[in-house]
Amino acid sequence: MKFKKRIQWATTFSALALFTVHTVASLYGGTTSAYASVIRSDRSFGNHEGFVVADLESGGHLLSRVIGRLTRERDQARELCGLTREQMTILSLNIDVRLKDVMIGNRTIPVLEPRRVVTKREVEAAVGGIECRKFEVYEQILLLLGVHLS
Amino acid sequence: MFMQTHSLSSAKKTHHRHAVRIQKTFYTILFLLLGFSLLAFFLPLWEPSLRLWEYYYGIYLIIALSYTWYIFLLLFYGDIQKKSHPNYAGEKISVIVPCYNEAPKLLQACLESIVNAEGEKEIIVVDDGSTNGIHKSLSRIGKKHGIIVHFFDRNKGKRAAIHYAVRNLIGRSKYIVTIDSDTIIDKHALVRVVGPLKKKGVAGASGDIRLLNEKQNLLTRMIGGYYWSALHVHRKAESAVGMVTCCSGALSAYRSSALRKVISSFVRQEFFGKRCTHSEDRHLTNLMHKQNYKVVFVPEAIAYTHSPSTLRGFLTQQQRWRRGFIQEALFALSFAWKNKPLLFFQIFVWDLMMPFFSLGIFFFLITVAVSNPLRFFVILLPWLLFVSLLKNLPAFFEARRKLPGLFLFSIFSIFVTQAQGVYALFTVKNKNWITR
Repeated sequence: MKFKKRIQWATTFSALALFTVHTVASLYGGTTSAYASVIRSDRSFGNHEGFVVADLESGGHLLSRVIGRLTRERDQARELCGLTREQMTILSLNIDVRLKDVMIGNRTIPVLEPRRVVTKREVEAAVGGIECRKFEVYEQILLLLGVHLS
Repeated sequence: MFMQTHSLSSAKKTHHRHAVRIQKTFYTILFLLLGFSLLAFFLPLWEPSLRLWEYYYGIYLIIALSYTWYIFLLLFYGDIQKKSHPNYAGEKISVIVPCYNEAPKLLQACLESIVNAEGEKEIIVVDDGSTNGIHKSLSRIGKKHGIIVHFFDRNKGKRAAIHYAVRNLIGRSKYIVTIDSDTIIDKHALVRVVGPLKKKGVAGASGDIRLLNEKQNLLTRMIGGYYWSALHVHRKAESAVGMVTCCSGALSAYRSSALRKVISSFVRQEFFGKRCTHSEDRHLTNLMHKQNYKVVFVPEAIAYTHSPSTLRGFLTQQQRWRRGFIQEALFALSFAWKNKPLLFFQIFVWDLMMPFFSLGIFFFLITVAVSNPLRFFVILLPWLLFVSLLKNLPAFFEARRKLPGLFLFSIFSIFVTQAQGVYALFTVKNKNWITR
């Protein structure tokens, strides 16, 4: 096989392999946060004190880490707001979504999740008014933890 | 003797009934796939079936990806194989040109190109009851170049013309080449297209078809890209394992002994009880596969043909091709599961199943294009073009000037030829040639 042909095949298979990895990765998992309807379907999530109590006993350093992590979570959730399933279905015509299983207690709940970060403005343009419960919950948790730390 | 003949004929009938049953089963499966893909698109509008779209989309992506890998692995395998077959050594070639209402000038150019082509040949033209007054000029050309010309008193179809020529007009030739009457062949095309037939186990070969009128307009440029991809990516890949699924009517060669064996069943082919009229090229190819022969693509054997230059003409041609494709794919499935499992898998999973299984994706794209054009043009269209480029990467290396036409055709095919495929599924029993 000539050198030019070898280069051609190396490029072809590299491109194909990258594309395959990307496609499979986008099919089975990703980094985006779960769809916010989880919050709606999980009544215990609002109990934020129960949510962090185990970590609180480990001291200030850990608490800072928890706050750091929650802050990142809050920032991620800033634009991902609570939608009804009906709203999400409408939205799914305009953005790519995938189905994700979320464990709530012993139950597994299938929820739709955007494949990329969606801005609040985009969502509002597609489905009208929305409610950012998850962001609010994180804000409350951080507020409480901030009080503990001080 | 009579008993033996009777039992043979009874066995044939049983075999035929069995084949028809298999075809009907797969035909039904295609409708089920169509139904499933529609459900996958529409049902997620209701909450309980959210998961269906996800599964459907996942399966679609996996099948599409695996098909791309399959094609490229075959192409790679073809590239690393040594191309060895004995050179043409003056064996006699019978060239059959069936014609019907062909433009006299074009037919003359076609015949002259065959006369001027290399190789020891006899040329036979069968006029299939033309009504455009071509008789005189055809007789004159025949006399001038020593071409055997036969006229049917009425239109009987291309199959009948080929059958008649093979049965009654050709001599003791080793190879038979069929050429469309609107095709002009390259000087070396004949000797090159029969070359691989010298190799044991190969009984069919198809040439590289290029467009005479590619630069005529945007549509013909798109068709030019489509032809290139169909031949130099897909057919070339199939050829690596001797599994070409269609020898183009424009330029094909067959081993004479293999063709003679099946010529009667070729002309008598029925599909769901109706005599077949079109897609004779696909059927001849299938009959070679049925005899367990290999069929290959010969890119060095070049022929030039005309493609429709209007959208209406192109869609009409495609409609006939798609019906023929479904008909012949079902026919191939009825025997390939026994003697060519890879061919069976390829035809069923990728060639036949995918166009119908992907209908939900087609509806999704249409919905997005209509409801959110910005998203379609900014996100989905570039993505589709990227996938198209990936699927046609050989064009990037070997025929870059074909890429714009190929890109445009990819988009066109998503919205138009996909719908045509579904229409063809419902009207597959229609035997009209349409363009005739």
